[in-house]
Amino acid sequence: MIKPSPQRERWANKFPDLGTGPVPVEPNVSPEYFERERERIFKHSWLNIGRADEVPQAGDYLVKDLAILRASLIVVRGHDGVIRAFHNVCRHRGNTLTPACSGRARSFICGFHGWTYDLAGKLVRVPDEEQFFDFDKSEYGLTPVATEVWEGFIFINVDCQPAETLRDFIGEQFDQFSGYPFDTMRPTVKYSATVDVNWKIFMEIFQECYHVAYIHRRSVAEIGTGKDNPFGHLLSVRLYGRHRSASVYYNPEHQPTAAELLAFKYGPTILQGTAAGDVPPQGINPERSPKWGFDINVFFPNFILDLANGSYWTQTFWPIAVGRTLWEVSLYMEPATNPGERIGQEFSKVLMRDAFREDLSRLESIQANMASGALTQTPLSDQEIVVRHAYHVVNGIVDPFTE
Amino acid sequence: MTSPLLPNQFQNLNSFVEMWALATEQARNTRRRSTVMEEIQEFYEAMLPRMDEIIQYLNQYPLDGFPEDAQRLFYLALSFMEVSPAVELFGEPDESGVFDAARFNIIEPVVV
Repeated sequence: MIKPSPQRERWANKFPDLGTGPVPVEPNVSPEYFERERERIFKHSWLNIGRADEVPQAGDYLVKDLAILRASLIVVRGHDGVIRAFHNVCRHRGNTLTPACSGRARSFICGFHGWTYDLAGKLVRVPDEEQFFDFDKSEYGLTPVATEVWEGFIFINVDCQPAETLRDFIGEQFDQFSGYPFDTMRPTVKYSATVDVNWKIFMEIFQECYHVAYIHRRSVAEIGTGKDNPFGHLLSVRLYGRHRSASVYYNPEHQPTAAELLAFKYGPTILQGTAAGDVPPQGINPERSPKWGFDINVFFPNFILDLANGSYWTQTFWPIAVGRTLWEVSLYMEPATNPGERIGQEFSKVLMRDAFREDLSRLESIQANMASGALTQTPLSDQEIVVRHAYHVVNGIVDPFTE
Repeated sequence: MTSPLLPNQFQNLNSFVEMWALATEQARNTRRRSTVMEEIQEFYEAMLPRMDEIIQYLNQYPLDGFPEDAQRLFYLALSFMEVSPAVELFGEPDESGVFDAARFNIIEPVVV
């Protein structure tokens, strides 16, 4: 019998299929498990690769080398406004078309023999074409990669024939953020780091709030905990098949520092919680808690969309090896309309960055210790239900016979 | 004659310009991490009581239209926010034990 927590019914009662036992360490340290994740998950899933406003004009492109797919991809906006993705590979002899970067192009020209492709991937020029046999240029366009856009987020799927559309993949949440001002917000800063940790452990720290009171005790713990919620219990947890969302508690009675007071006086800050007054779309803070900080939306397998009032941030976790991950963060805010707002934004950026460095501080030792054999399984509290769900979702695909 | 470092009423902050009037978050963070706490504290304490006045002064300009002296003042104000956690939360320039700053990439936007 599970005892109810003093605050609310246990999540384990709401989601009984997830169980309450410890979860194994092996998925975080096994190279074989990692290879199965590559083949069964990443090569068949819709993966966020950026935002449409990163390629606003025809010819704007970005190139991503993605170790987990063992592929390099070009994402480019065509003259028709459509965003397409292709393997960054010349169809002639397999040369890489363009190095990882971003920019604006009129066409893509292979540096080996000068084969030229237009923005829609069509092969338009082959030097000395007459020397090829029974040759039809239309058969040698760039190899396309399925690409769809949702709320301005570009998703790709390297499966030649994706088993589901992006709409079906996102499912119930597809319309839940409709009305959130994604289009008017702009990236104020991006952060990245390559960390020697498994991608799942990395993602988990940004889903549970059990760590806030301790690892963030010198920075944001006072904001994320309160007299009525000393351990920062999640306001709500929603499971959507492979995806999940949670609402994060915010303490409106926290003692602001002098810098925070200044920032809040002259513009919105990331710490304002619901104080901004706007009512977010129904999919955000669905309980309409007045002590709401932000929502964590985890899109399987490797994308987190954190939505607050007046700001949001995306996190993408690109596995490189079983114990190595590239983490990319973009922080978006409404463009500052005057210097005071911009100075206030700096407060939010700096505090968030310093707190991120706290989050990252333990990851490499955790990975090393898990790989050492010191432990074979780990217990999870009811507040780590999101970690438990993440484990079961991945394991159900990678190792279905143990589920 | 070159223009004064800072607008008239902020001349007593001139001595901080060389160290703290920095254009990027990366530069401001690097400066914070490589400066001793006494100097950070001195900068913070000189700026804090003037911040309201500074912001109100800067707000007469659009973000992309500062004269040189106001531009420096704007960068000082951003540096104030950069050092604020060091003074208000950590009591040290950079929190000890956190992820290595040299491996934490800050990628600035193209616009201000």
